[in-house]
Amino acid sequence: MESTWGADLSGLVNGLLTALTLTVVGFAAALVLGLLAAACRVSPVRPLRAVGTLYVELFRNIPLLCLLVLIVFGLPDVGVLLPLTIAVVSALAAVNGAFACEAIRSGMNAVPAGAIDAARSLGLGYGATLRLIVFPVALRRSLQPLVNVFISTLLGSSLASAVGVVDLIGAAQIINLREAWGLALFAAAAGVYVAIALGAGALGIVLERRWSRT
Amino acid sequence: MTSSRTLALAILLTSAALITGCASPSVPGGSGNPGSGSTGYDDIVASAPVASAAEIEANPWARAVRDAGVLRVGGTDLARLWSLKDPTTGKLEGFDAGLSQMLSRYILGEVHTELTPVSVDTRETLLQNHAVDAVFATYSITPKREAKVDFAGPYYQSGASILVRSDTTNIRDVADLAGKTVVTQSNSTGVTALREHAPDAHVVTFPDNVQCVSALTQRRVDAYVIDESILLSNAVSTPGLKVVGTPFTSDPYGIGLPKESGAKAFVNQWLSRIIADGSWARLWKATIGTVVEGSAPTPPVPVPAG
Amino acid sequence: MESNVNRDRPLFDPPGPRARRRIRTLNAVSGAGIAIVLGVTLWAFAARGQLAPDRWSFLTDGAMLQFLGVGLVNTLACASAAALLSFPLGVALALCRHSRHMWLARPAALWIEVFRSVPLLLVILVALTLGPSLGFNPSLFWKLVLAIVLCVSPVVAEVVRAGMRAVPRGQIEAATALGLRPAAVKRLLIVPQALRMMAPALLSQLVAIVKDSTLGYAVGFPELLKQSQTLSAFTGHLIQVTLVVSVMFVLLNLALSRIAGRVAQRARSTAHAAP
Repeated sequence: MESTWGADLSGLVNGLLTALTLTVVGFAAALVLGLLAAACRVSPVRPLRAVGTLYVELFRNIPLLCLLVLIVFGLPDVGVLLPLTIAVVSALAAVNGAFACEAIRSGMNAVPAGAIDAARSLGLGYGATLRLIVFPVALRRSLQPLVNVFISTLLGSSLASAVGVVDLIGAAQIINLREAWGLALFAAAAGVYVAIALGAGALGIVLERRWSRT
Repeated sequence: MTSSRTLALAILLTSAALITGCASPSVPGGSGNPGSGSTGYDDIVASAPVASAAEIEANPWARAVRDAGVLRVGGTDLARLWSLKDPTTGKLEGFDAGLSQMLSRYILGEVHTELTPVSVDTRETLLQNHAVDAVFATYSITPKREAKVDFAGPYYQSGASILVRSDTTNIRDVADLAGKTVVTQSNSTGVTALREHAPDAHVVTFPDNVQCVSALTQRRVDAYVIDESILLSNAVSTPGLKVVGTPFTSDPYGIGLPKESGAKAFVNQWLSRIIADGSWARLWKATIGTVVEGSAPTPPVPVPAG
Repeated sequence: MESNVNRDRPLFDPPGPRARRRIRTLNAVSGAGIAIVLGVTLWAFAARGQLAPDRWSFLTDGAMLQFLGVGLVNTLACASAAALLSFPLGVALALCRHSRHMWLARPAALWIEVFRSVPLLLVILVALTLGPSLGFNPSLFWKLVLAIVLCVSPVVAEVVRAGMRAVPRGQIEAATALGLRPAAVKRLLIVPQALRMMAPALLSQLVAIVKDSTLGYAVGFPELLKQSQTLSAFTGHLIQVTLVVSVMFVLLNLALSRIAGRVAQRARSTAHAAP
């Protein structure tokens, strides 16, 4: 077999990029879903409240692996064939969106009542109040829990290898098949995950400090 | 909740967990309980030869198995035709499973096996640490693996083939796979087969057979490459699929054994016996033979211990 | 723990007549929209024959249901064992992290940070490939449980640490002034209160542990999801089986959360009742 150093390394880098893409896109989508769900849960429209509550209760309690199998193999039988990467991102977004919603709702409690009254007296509607007053404050207050949601998304992305998307762990497994590096490879992969998580945590602290100045 | 109640609850839960943990999770690998499943299969296993006490006494590996009272097998319970667990009976059935059950009967006089699920990553290490006595898992013999473990056999000559949807006309053999999306099982010989024979194919992997077949029928992929007999079984059980081309790899399957344990000579001798008295062929007919036409192929000649 | 913002402190003033009309319209519209989405989904499902009775027949087969039941019992056993091990370990880790001795605190902090950020799947893979060569080969059950404990105990430690920090400083100072040594302060004052405060968060870890147990497929442990995969392989009906098992998981976790909520409520009420 030809020298595989270069191939191995590029395989690992591709795996890492895939893992990062899944995490970042998944987290962004989770934030959006979380905001939408939070808006639904505090809305005066009863069916929307029900949908929001149902969404959160369902996706907080379903195992990610179960959901992945359903999306990848269940949806096509309803006519929806998602590319594998998008399927993984959707599952990550759905599950972590539920957690994000709860984090944002706890942050909402920190919104001063006076601010909302001021918004109403200025004539801001429901959506505008949420968008301009409530969510910015809530997001800032829930920064720490949201960092945890990011880490949860990162760890969840590792399940991508169970449905055919080659992430960092999948790439390490493929190389482990060919060579015999075993432990060193997996330890390195673990190190990468730890580094990303610690980086996210540090970023969170920096942002918190920056925002608490305003 | 008062602290004494908490303590009691904790003790209760721990003991329940420990009891269940120690008792249940090992998969019953056909410990001789008669099931409602194919009696033909059971008869074939039950009529397999039994070794004499002297033969077992003379071989350290066999002695250890006899003293333990159980043959610890590394394998799987998800492979149709090879080793599939019937959920209704808890019994393992298949070609690999049947061979392991016959070997157990050879040494112990009755079928008593204990299955540890293995993957490509764990097969060699489990043998090296004597965590299992033998590995029956469509285990291809390669020089790299022979450096770590012994192989008895080969006991089956296999090859990878291609499964496509019935309406696919542009894939007829392995050369047509270039540029197509092909699925195979993760960590299987299909991965290496595709890398060597169809490097321009876009390969997707899933952990097991059902998911690979779903990917094919749901049009996520264009073709499924794996051992031919598994594909034939899929073509029979799932409408709308067909096998094309001829096997394009040559995979000899062997029984994984701990290196230099004396097991190789013993198991090869057993293999020769079951081939000679027709048990091998009968087992083939009851398992793989249910989807492949014709009589049993000529079994490969087990390589003698060198 | 679910503070409904609408109830505690309304986000908006009570609606006037025009707003009430708008809300009624939105109620009708969104209700209809949801019904349509559900109907289309069911129709699409049925149109592809997924609602055919033979695909769901496994629900009436006693042996197959028992097969799934075994998986459920294994899931519960695995989760209980993992919880019973990771909670004390997490408390111990938190105490080490909080210790004044640097040789305890630093390694504990490192351990927590590392194992909080590593995917469980990776830990399981390492235990699978590495364990046997180190002579460490416990049963499948313990391989899974110990891997989960390794990953969950740091999370528990962080939760406990947050609780420890929330204990009012005044109490700690009073206790120290009374002559209690730091270890006694921790044992009698900080840890009990921390645990009581963080009880709901701790019990929600139980749900996380149940979800983590579904990674049993990687070790081949016959928990519920792995059993459902075997059943799917046997019947060939993957979607139906997985749907039913998903519902089982959701119900199980909902029940756990409900129990957790009730325990937390009782803990709160006893805390207030204590003199």
